[in-house]
Amino acid sequence: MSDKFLRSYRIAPRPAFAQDMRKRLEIDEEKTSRVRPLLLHPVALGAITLMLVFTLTLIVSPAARAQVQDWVGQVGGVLFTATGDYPDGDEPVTIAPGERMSLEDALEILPFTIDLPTWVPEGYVLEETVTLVHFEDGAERIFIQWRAPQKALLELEIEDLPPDESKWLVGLESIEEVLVDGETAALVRGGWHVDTKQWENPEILHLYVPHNGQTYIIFSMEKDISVDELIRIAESLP
Amino acid sequence: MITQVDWLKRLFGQESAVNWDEVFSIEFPRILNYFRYHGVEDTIAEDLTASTFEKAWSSRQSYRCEKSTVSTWLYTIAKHTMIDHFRARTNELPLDNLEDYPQRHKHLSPEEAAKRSEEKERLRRLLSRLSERERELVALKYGVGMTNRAIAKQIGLSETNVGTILNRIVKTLRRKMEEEK
Repeated sequence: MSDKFLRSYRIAPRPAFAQDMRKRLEIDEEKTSRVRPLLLHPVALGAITLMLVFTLTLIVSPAARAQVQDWVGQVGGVLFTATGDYPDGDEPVTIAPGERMSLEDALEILPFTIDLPTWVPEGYVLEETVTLVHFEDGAERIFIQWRAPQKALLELEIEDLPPDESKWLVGLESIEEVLVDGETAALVRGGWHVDTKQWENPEILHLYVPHNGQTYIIFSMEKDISVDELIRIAESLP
Repeated sequence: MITQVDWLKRLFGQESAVNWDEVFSIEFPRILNYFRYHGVEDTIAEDLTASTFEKAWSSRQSYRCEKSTVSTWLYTIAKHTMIDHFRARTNELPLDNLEDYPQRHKHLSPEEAAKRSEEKERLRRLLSRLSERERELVALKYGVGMTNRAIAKQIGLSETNVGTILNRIVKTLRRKMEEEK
């Protein structure tokens, strides 16, 4: 059911109004204030003690430190490995074969069904052709794009692997937890640079959302689409 | 890798300090739209938003992070501000105030801007005629941008119930918008 007419009623505050409020409240003079300290629960105290022991172990033991350089875990049900090492080291880059076709044709070929977001930011138009990529291990991935003027890009990537079976290699400390429809999802900032072999450019945004047993990845650049808009796109998935 | 700060945040569920600058940037537009989706005029929505933030700012030292998030705390203040406003004005709501709309549509032709303004004003009037609970649901969903789950938690209904009521409200509003064209 379309609620576009209701959503379009939303407005941004007048800049003069917002500036005036900031001035009246003198927010700029006190950007951060401490709130009352919490009384520590015995369980919390115990946990902090364990944390300190753990930290000390890391400091004195190089072996233990090496083991936590990479972090493997699930965020929002999606499995990630956060690492400082470029995937596959010095192996040459291989490009998986992709097929360009219409969305209708792709839907007939795909061994799984997909949903498209019912909301994208104003000005973004769905591209007529999509790309299907077949991986050697049999996994299929579809790339669907929307373009806006000035070539701004929004891309939806759907993989037919359950989220906890996907293995995403991302840079250290690149994952943030966000809420999509009240559920935790992973927002990853940045990408591997094929030449420098470093995780770079935090302006690249990927939002990983489990949907119908598949992994939906919504991609854009922060200068084109904000994190809030990415979340709204994800929340509009039927 | 989860940092120690992240770990402590997860342990306690909140940060130890409030970044008011960030709170203002995020919540100011949400609170403004919360009032607008209650069907009040833009100028009144601005007054109510200002009042909400003034109250919140003057009592910020009493905010207890272990009791609620800053957002929840602000919406509670906004809700009471809204209730006070409706009590003071009884049931009377002005229906025609198009003066400030054209300035929001500077990029449109005068005809298109007028058409948009009329549509928005029609929707505002329809919103103002909803029941208090319906307005609150619409305001939290579309004004604040909360999920159905968060709304359910906030107002004590089940998530399914929130979805069903919102669905019905949207259908009714859309039908009435069409009828009044």
